[in-house]
Amino acid sequence: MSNVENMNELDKVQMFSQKVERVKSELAKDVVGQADIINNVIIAIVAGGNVLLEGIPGVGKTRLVRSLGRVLSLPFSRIQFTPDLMPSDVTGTNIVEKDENGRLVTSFKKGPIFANLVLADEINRATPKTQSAMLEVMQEHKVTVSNQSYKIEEPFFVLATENPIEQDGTYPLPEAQMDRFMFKLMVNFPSDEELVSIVKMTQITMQETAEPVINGEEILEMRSLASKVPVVDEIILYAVNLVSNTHPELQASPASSKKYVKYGASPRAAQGLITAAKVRALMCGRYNVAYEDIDALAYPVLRHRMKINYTAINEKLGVDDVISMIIKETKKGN
Amino acid sequence: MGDFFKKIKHKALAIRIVKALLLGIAVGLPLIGVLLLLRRFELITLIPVGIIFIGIGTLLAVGGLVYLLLHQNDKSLAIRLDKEKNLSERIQTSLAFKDQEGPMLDLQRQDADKKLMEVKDVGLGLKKIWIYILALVIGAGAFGVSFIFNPAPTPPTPPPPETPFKVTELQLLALEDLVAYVEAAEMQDPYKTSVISSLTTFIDEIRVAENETQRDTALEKAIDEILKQTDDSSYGVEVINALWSTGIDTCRLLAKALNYYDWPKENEWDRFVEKMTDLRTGFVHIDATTQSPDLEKMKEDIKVVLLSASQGIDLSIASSKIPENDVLRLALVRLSTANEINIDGTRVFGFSILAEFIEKNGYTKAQRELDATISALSPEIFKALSQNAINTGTGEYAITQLASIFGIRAPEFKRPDLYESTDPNIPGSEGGGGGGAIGGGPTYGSDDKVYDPFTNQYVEYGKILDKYYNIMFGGLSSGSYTDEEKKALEEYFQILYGGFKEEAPDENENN
Repeated sequence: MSNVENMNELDKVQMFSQKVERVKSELAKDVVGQADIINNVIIAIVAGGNVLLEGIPGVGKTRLVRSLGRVLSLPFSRIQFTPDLMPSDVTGTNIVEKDENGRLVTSFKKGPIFANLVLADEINRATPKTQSAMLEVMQEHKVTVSNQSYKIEEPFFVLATENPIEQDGTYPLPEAQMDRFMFKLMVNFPSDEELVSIVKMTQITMQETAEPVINGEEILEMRSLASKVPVVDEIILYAVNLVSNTHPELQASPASSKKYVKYGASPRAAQGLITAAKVRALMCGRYNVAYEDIDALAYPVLRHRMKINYTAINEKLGVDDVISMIIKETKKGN
Repeated sequence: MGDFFKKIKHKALAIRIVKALLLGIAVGLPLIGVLLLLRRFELITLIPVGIIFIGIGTLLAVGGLVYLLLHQNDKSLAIRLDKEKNLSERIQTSLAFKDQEGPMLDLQRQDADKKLMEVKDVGLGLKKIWIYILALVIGAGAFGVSFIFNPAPTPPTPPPPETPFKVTELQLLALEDLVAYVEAAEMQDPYKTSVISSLTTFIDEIRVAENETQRDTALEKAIDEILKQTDDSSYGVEVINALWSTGIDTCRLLAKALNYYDWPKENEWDRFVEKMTDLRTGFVHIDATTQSPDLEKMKEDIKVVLLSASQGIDLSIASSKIPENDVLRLALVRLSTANEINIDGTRVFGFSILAEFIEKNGYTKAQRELDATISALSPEIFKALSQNAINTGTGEYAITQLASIFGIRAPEFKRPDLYESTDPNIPGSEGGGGGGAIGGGPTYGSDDKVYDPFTNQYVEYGKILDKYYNIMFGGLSSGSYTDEEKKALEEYFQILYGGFKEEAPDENENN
């Protein structure tokens, strides 16, 4: 029985907050700014979701993930996705080798995916075939090779980065793959002040200096604690309505959805919304999920799961703009 | 849920009740004002208590409606608190999971209570209560304002416009003729003087009368005075009625004889004698069926008849209250009880004396004395009745003429009850004689019946002439005729009256 198990609920909550704050403070050593990104990454990790970070090169995506790997004190692996990367390069493969007796035997050599925290760097540079190799492991936390499944230890997260699709040499992630990510976070170009801080910091050292402050067991305990946060039916219904309203084909969808959305989010979005909202509530010092949690998380949860149409593009509307409209119209209808 | 939420619930309930009351009063109060205002303007007839009840009913109805509309259950209250106080759905969650247990839920409840207690101003629409207070103030204002308006005093109903009246020369002429007629009439004083006085006073008043009201007032006064003098001057009606009422055959025969209202305008004496003869036959009791009448029985029978006649007369005199000095009374007393008085050389025995006389002198002799008595007293009774008739006739004529001159309906005159009878045996229903009185009654022209276009019946000529005459005078008074027409009408009616007056010597003298 661990120390965590001996705590009462209030102590656990206090520990939760402390851990989150320590993770934040450690990350702040290596990552300048990006507070929202950090918060959302922490939410996703505690909620057990995968995160897709999108941003132009050099905005600190990889550094954030690397620092996170240090802070979390978990087995960490990094996969640099390239067009020639093969699925077996990710999952691992059966190899033939001699045993102690000199006989040839087949054994499975685990790929880099077998870690608790996987950094899939520039995931959209790999071919769809290789990207698809991530599907099973991201959803079911297991790898199947030659009809043999290999379970991955919990906690397991994939933190992927990608360059914007419009850049050359990239392959858009298939919708099924996208759906496996709980959040898609947009890493924006830093502000001038942040950039100055970044330059100054890297003049001293390029090495990440963050220290490990949380282990896997604690993360699982935090996840368990967050799962107990109560959510009233009205908020669940609101989250469901929000996801449903991204579907333009549905009769009850709001006008903005019908006008600007090409296809809507999957049910995983609603699940992810509620799961993440519970973590966010605790991080905000609340013991219940509020509408504000749903609203705040709607963007990272929905933006990669729905696709806007040419009308929106033509009107220079981004997916976040459309999500804002849908949130507004869903509140009105609630 | 914590106690604090319960306190908030109670506060919300109290606010809801206050709001309901305020709005109920705000509506009920002006309604009472409006109803009271309408009542003051007499547009409705509700009593004040009813209006107050309506106001209270409205207060309860509106208040109840507001109470129901503002009703919110625990859940809606929790949602409202979360929303208004930015409590991030803490209260809703706490309420939703109130029946569940768990460490996290306990923490959530504690957190919700803590945050709720930290809210300094729970509000719950208390700030918006000014709207209700404003409504109440407006309502109270409307209630007060309704008392400011007072119905304008109802202007007194203007009297109906007076119809102007000015007596015509023709009417004055007719009035002067009427005065002259009364002066010349043999009506007894002081009745005649009083009637003349009433007429001259009336003439003075009618000369200055400016409208029909003044005219009618003067007319009514004059007619009432003359009617009274006429009643005072004659007891004929009362005596005749009294005699008739006795039911005694001889008294009824006497009543018929005395009924001068039924006398024709000429040969009144003959008519009277005829009726007195009928009276006389009432005392004859001869059994014509046998060759040898029972004289003794006849004597007894006549005796009874005489006594009953005497008693009937005495009773009639008493009941009619005829004055003691009245000549008719004196004559009737003699007829009833005279004891061998001498009238123009004739011995006269009253009926009661004759009843005794018959015992001593026998039936036949008594009959002779009876004949002598009736014959001797008849002129005296006739004279007395004639005076009565003149008094009555003069007064009634004056009244009829007054009504006729000014085109109004003459009042009904007293007549003996027997006069109205349809019984052919009753005087008045016989013959169809005119309804006028001796010596000046309003009987004109012939007794032949003529067609009355007003009633579609055949009536006495005199009656239809009255109607025409009234119409003529009405037209003259209202100025409906041209001068030429007036002259023609005047001549026509003068001819008509002239013909009548020639037939009535007394009237001729006065006209």
